[in-house]
Amino acid sequence: MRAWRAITRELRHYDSAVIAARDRDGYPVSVRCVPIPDERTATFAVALPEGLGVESGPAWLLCHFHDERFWSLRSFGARGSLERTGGSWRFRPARFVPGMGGVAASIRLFVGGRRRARGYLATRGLEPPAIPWDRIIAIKHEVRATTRRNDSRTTGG
Amino acid sequence: MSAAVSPVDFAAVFGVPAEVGAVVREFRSCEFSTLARDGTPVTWPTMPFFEPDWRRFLITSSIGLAQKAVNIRRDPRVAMLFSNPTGSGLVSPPFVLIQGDAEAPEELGQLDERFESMTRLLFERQPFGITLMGALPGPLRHLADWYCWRILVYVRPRRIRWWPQGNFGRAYGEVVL
Repeated sequence: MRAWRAITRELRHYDSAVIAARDRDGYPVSVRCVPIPDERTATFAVALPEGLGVESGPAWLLCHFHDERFWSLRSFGARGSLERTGGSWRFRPARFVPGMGGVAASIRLFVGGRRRARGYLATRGLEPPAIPWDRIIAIKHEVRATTRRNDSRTTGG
Repeated sequence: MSAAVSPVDFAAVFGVPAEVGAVVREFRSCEFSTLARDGTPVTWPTMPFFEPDWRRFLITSSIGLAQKAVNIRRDPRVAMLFSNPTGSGLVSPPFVLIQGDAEAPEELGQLDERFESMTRLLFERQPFGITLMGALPGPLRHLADWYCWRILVYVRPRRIRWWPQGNFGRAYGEVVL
């Protein structure tokens, strides 16, 4: 019930979600949907199109957002299962998985990511690759200059 | 700003309608699903790059966020759903679902010519990222190195489905490869 409550609380910030399950061949299959919470059963009703060969079983619910400039990223996921009952589908969550968005998530991403990256290299005996920051910053300046030129043409400036 | 249209784009390579190719080219992200050890599909948004000469997608991931690569090395079956048109400039585009087989080699990516074009495209599409990238003063920049240590994930499509006008209630088109 804890996962269901957390999802229901977060769902208010999104227009829709993506539900992912598996098909008859074992491949992931996903569609966008509008989950409808059902507190009595601690599930979410989801509509899936016919003909995809979706199977009952392990499933994932994702909500994510970015703005027109591919920024203000936020997201969350939920692990659970997809159940078929009486011709309709329900997602039964088991665990809420935080994603991006907010200061806490950013710190978690940065600190955890850095620690895991070091572990990845150590486990495989790899040296940390040098990052050509000067080149990356140069690309940044080139793109910014091009964008400004295009914007001033568009606005007649 | 839109990416330049490759003379051979996704639609031409796989024989799907031009509007499906436009989705692959212009959408800022797709919802990428891999399979966890227990078989649960795990789905997060990511930014894919289509490589027409190789008939495959390239997705990169920091080694600090390597779970999708670990999943792929165990089970290569993946799916990519293009269902969020925000920022694409497209009006009533189709939803596109691509299922395929992925590989995630152990060696890390290098900032070569291909990565320069990807970095450029990312900066074009994510202007606030430009501000942040390099916001750390030089001596502290190494703290962000981990984010640039990238694993390469290649996805070869096996089945492409699309729903006109982003409506899952409509009949879908399909190409099986």
